[in-house]
Amino acid sequence: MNRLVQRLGWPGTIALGVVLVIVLVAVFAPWVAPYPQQGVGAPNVAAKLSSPSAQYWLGTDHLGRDMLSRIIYGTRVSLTNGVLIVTFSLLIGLPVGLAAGYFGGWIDEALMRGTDIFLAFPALLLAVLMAAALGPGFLNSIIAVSVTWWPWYARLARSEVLVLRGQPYVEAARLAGVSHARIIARHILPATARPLTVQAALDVGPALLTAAALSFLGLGVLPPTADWGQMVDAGRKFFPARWWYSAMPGLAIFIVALAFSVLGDALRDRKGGASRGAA
Amino acid sequence: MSSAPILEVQDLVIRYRARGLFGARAKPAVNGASFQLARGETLGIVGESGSGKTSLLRAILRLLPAESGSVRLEGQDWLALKGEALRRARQKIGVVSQNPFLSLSPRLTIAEILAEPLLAQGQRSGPEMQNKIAGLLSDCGLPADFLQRRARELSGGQAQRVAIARALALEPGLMILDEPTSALDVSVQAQILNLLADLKESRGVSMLFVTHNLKVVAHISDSLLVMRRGEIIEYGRTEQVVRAPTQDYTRELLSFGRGNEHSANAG
Amino acid sequence: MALLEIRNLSVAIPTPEGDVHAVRSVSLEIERGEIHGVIGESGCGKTMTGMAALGLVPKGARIAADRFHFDGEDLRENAGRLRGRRIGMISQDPAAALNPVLSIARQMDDVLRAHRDMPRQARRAEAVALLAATGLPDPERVLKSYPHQLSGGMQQRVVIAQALATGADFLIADEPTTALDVSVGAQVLALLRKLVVERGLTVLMITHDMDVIAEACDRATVLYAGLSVETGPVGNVLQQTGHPYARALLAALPDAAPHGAKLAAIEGSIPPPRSEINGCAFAPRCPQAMPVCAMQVVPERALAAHRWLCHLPEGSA
Repeated sequence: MNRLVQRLGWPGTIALGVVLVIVLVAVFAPWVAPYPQQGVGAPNVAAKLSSPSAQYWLGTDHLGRDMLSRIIYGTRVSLTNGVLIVTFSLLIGLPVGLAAGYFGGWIDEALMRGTDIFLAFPALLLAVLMAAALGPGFLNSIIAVSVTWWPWYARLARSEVLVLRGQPYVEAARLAGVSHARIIARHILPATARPLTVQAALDVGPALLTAAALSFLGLGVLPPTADWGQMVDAGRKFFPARWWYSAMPGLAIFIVALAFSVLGDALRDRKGGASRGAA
Repeated sequence: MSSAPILEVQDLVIRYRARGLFGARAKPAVNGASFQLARGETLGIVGESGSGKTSLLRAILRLLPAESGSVRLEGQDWLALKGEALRRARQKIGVVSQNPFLSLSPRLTIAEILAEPLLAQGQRSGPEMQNKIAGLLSDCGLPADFLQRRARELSGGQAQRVAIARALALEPGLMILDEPTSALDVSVQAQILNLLADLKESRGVSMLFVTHNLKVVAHISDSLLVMRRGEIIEYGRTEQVVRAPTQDYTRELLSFGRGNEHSANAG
Repeated sequence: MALLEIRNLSVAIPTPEGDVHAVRSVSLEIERGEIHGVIGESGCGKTMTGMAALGLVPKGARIAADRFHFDGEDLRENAGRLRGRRIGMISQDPAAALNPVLSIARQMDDVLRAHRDMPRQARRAEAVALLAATGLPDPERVLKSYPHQLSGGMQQRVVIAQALATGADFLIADEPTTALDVSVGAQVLALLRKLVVERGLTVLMITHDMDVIAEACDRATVLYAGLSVETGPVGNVLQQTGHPYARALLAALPDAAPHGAKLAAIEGSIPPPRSEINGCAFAPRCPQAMPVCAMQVVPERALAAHRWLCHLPEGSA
């Protein structure tokens, strides 16, 4: 524990704790949620729009479903969104950046100019356009956001590779007759892994935020699946009288996004680690 | 010199691409270099920054294209090799560079670093390879318990020994040494120079020793070549160049320092 | 009285694994108007000695000395004030010492404005004069340049001119020619010699290179494992070398042996920087070591101004 605080700092450690709690909550949602049935979507009209109380800690929505249970189930969607968007983006961006940076020349030009086209659009607008074209739905919204996201990884990977490619030990491998595939697998990929995972951790927050924005616009997960963005949107009609309907999922989004971002910062600034060599 | 030279460079010209579309054609970095390296001998290439020695080296290593001229390695047209053929032929040259901590991967153990060239040329890992790696390391003066260490746990001299062992892994006929002792302390430099002399004797390997320090290379090379501003200004047997340099520049390099004490207050 | 007097200086840097003895016991006496070379291999404490005189030791480092004075002032208290006024510094990498986005004129003027009470025009004239004094041809053009437009040798001359602009009369030069080509380095050394003669400058020259010592210095001190083991006029230190380490260092040079012959490499390695040393620090590696060497405090041997630490009597080399 002490070592963890030493390496991540207090904010980073707290953020890591929050992220772990959220992951556990998502995994064990049926056991954690007070009303699992309502979390999945079963209506409970008798108690509709109740304010927060001992029975419903965060109040209920317009179908009487417990907000807390809905938010707990919503963590599943949000986390999956964030993680999948980042994963898809890495899967596209990393190979593109690697190829562009390692081989250079016309391959670099072609790949990076292609990447620039995606970067030329405002990210959210492009995501909305993509989502509208693909139609609403869980996977479609993830694809829509990933399309706007991967170019950043391509750029980051390329810049890392450019530095690595000039390293004498990479050149030494080349001069020993090591093949490109082997150099990439053995020398380039392992060294790019750390900056890219840090960036990915940093991005889970913004990614799930963007996905939430899409579902807020009605382009994300379809009801009755619980989704924070969609809940904020549904609560708007009852705002401000039934403030908790929008505010509670909004708060959840805020906390999760903040936790990932603080954690990402802490990982980036991490002290010590492998580079601590002999004196 | 009865047998054919291992390396033959003829009228080699290297020019960097002009900047921009209308940039003036750059002056050549190397302007028509010609020299030979006999089998089992060491040729020292001396020059300062901008002399063209690094460009010459990189062209021989096929890291830079040559504009014209020829390089023959063991009689083969070295500049004509391409792609997979070049990759396979690279085992004929072992390379050691200036800073061993940069030229050895920080992530791999010494055993992995030494295995890399062997695996690249299609040898199978196994006990046989492990024996070979341990043998290389001991030929370079390091005990086998270094195999599981990483470069950052070594001293500069030890790391450079590992780099030399790696260069020898594929039993190349030619070793190219690029300032191999410039980052080392004098006492360690002496150890490395002795090691290179031993290897030359025991393995009959030919060496191209590139440095800015004429005194270092004059000690171990059979012939010397001095470059300045892209031209070879002096080329001959070492004893001859050291005894009777034809250029003022060479004389200046030779006379710097000891034997020339400033002794205003010396008692 | 010597300009810089250091007697038994030690610098210890506390770390979680114990104190690093960067400097164990260094004694130096640098007279006005000389170039005094401090030579040693990595880890010998030569750079830390220079840093201590500049008041630039790492935070938390402990400095102790019997005497540590510059022109009668105690450096333990006054190093910060003397640095940049009377003590200037020249480092290995002149490009790093100059700001890449400011013109030389601006950087010279900043220094002059901070140290001299002069009107703008006079400062300009002084900048030109200082650059000319460092042997830069066409100082007016140099003033208009930015660092990247100058060669390494020219940059190092600008750094020297800046040090002169502060009014410093003592320069600590840490490997000032190591990053330069041999011929350019020789010119920079010649410039320092000229400034010593013409302006009464005093220079502490930190280097690993015996040739630099021979080329530029009047006297030299050899450091090993944080200890000054030999000091004296350069001719004595290089030719009638007293300390076995200094002799071994000279014998390891490639031109010390006949062409192609084995060089006399020094076996073993320096003592770990955290270890305590009893007796002679070089004893474990010394070919002439005797049982007494590892145990007893090493006596000082002296022949006039040439002094070294060794159990072997004078003339036994």
